[in-house]
Amino acid sequence: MDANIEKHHKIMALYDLHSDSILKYVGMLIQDFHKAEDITQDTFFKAYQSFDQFQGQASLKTWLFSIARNSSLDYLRKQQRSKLLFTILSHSYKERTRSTEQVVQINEDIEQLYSALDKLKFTYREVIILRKIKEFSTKETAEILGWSESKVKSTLSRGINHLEKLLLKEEHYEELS
Amino acid sequence: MKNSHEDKGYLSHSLKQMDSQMEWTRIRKGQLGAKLVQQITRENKKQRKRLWVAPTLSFSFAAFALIFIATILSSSITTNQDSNSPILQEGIHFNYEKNHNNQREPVLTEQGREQSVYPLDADQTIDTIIGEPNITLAITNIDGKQQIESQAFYLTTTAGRMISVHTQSHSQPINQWVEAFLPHKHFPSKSYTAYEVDIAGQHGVIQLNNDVNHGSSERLTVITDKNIYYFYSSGTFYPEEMIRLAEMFDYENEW
Repeated sequence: MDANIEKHHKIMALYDLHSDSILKYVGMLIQDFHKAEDITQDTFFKAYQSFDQFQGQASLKTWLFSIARNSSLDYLRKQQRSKLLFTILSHSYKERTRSTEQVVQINEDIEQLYSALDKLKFTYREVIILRKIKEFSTKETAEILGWSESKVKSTLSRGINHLEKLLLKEEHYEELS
Repeated sequence: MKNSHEDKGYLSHSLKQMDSQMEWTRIRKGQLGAKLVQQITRENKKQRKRLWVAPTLSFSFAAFALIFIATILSSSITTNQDSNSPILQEGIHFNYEKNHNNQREPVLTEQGREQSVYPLDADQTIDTIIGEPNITLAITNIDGKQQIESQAFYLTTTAGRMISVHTQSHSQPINQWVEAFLPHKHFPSKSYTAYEVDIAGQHGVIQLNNDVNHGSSERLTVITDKNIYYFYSSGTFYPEEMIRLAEMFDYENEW
């Protein structure tokens, strides 16, 4: 079989298996599920382009998540550079909600948790998504983020504490209203 | 979520559930998959071009002259081939209209719809289909050559379930695609099963999901000389229904 077609087949098989998970990961990370679709496509395309360089040191899934994370960071950096970040932040909740509804359906039960996650500092959010939501091991998370395992553990612990505080705060506000 | 953070165990449990509480529709997944296939196909074409162009730079003037002549000949052959292909004509088969984003997009005319590959009366034969399909068209110009991509969406009698068909052109031999869509001979994936089917004389491959925990797309893929058709269902996938629909396609009308 033509090498390119074989590679193409492998990438589409990976797309079938992991695109849902990658899309949700990117969507939660950048808080924009419309853009997350573009980044998901970009992730698999980059994987196709560099498939021959994949060394097999990490699993294919971990490798794909690393590519998705780098693409997400590139996107966020571009957003910052173009000074659109302020606009996005000032309308973040409204924009995100509208954007989310059209691309993914989110069960009401997790809305509060999803909203609290959005308000977390980026490093806390990304480590919580990988370790607690995607259930990667500490080692795999460290590989994806390019951190040490001890940094993963300490950042995760601090992130979970912050998330709890945010949820308590929101519950308090709910009770007041 | 009330009292969800009374202990960290509960919070961990809620976080674990988050992924399964979000749903990305199969149609959107299928659409994005089709876009990815197109992007990879374009990349392969570019690569082939680069492989062809690079050595020519080091050739002598005599070789260059030969290539120049060959290029003229091959371009004249290509033009002839293009003129023999079914042509979509603006004003007859489609018109440009402005969409809600104020961007111009091609919209099929009634004649264009009738002369398309997609059956408009599938609902007369297949009980689960309702009405005529919604057909969308995208026309791009790649390397001076018109490329047409289209999608058709069929509503079904099950609320929320839709059959989508994504079409993309290809230039590889059919058997290579069939082989690519079937499980690897020596290392078959455990997550899906695939087998070959005959679709009105065309090559088809049914792909079924073995692993309910992973969203591997179930689909029928039909490969003709010109195009690849991906048939998806946004709900339960019924192979017999897809095969019947695919058999109704008028493959002689391919763009």
